[in-house]
Amino acid sequence: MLQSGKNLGTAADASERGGDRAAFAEQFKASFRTFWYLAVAIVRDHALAEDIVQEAAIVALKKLDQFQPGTSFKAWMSTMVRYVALNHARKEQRRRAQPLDEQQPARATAADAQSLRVTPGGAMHINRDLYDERIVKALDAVSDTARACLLLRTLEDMKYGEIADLLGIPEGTAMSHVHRTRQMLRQKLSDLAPAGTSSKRAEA
Amino acid sequence: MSQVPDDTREGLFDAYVDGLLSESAHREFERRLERDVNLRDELALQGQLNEHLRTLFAPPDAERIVARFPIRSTSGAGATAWNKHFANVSKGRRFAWAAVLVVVVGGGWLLREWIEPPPLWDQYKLHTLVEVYQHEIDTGLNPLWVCKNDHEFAGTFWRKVRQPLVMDEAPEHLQAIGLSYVHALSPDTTYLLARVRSRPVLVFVDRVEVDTHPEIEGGDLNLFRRQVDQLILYELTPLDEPHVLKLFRKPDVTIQWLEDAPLPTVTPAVGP
Repeated sequence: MLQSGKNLGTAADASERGGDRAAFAEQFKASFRTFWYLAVAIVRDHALAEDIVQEAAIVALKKLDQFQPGTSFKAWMSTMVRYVALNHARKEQRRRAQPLDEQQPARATAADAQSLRVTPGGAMHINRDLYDERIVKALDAVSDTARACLLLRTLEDMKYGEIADLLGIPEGTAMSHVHRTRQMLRQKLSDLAPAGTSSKRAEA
Repeated sequence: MSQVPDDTREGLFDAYVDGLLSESAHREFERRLERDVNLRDELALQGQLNEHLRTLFAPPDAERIVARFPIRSTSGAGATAWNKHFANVSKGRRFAWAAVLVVVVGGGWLLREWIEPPPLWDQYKLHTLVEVYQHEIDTGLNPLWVCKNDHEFAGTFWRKVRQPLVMDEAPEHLQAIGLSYVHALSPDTTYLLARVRSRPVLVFVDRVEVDTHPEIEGGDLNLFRRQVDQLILYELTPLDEPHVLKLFRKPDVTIQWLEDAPLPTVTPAVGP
């Protein structure tokens, strides 16, 4: 269980204020980056991740009376974010699993047929930069949990124990996810190494 | 419990990157870095990858999300502020406040006998289209989002139902007010609030695969249906023919344009 500590809002902070929305917003903002990384690791789409975090916050606001004093707001809210994101990802997966002919509109017009083809939320459309696209593609191959571990460790500087608590996995697993994903990225993007260096590894 | 880094090359590398090496192991690793050019390159590469990750996954502004929190609530800030205020007043004043409360609550109860208030609205609970219409009538057509231009409008539909929509210029008798979403055909059903000849009209939009082919029976409302590519649109109106459905079309735009779409203005929500 997460203990209160630096950067970790606790239930006491929020519950003492009786579910005050201003207090909620304060706690939410303090841990927002974590919620964002959790969401984007699962849905892999910026705009969608933003919607997911917002939706999770609204769900959390409605369930504020279920918040247990003495527990971590960050952990509680993270559960909501993961729940909403996974729910969305499952729905999207089911939708994409439908046979193509079932997805076609029955009365599509010619004008409709010419219009934009869209990729459902599965694809990351984050940055068009070549390396970034390669990083995104490489990260597509690892699990949601591995992506979340990498982002939380690298970008949020979260300790492995905290990541493990947040995701409900053993600490060693969190560490292993990060190390393996880092290694995989280094192998796949070895040509990104600074110019003039000697080690150009073959792309895996 | 902390994990002890393994002493393989990769194990030490990751422990160094994570700052988990002891002071002596750290010094030893740095000496190794000076000698081993491959290790140095690998470390530089890791640093570059981290920078790319930082750019790729830069979080949006938290304030922007907080600003989109709904204001309507049945509990929370209002009640808390009230309780805190009440705790600070004297006994005499408490009595006076209590008397005022009796009058207000009693008066409210009497009023309730005359005017039945609408039930508490929960946009995440499954609603029929007619229920949504009734809610909007009760709250005076209060949209969640107001779009300033086609870009915001198309981007909002893109984010909610994964297909953009825009509206052709509306005739004079039609006033588009804004957009909201509700759990109707699916949790992402997005709807346009409009007035046609001053009469409230809603157009519900969702993906064809979640279409439940809703029907309305009796009453003063009519339901009209139109499909635009992968989206199904329902116009719920007190008028005898649809006026808004035909204005919707799918724009010929790129995904990048949609992803760059600014968020619409969030309106301060009111209502029960």
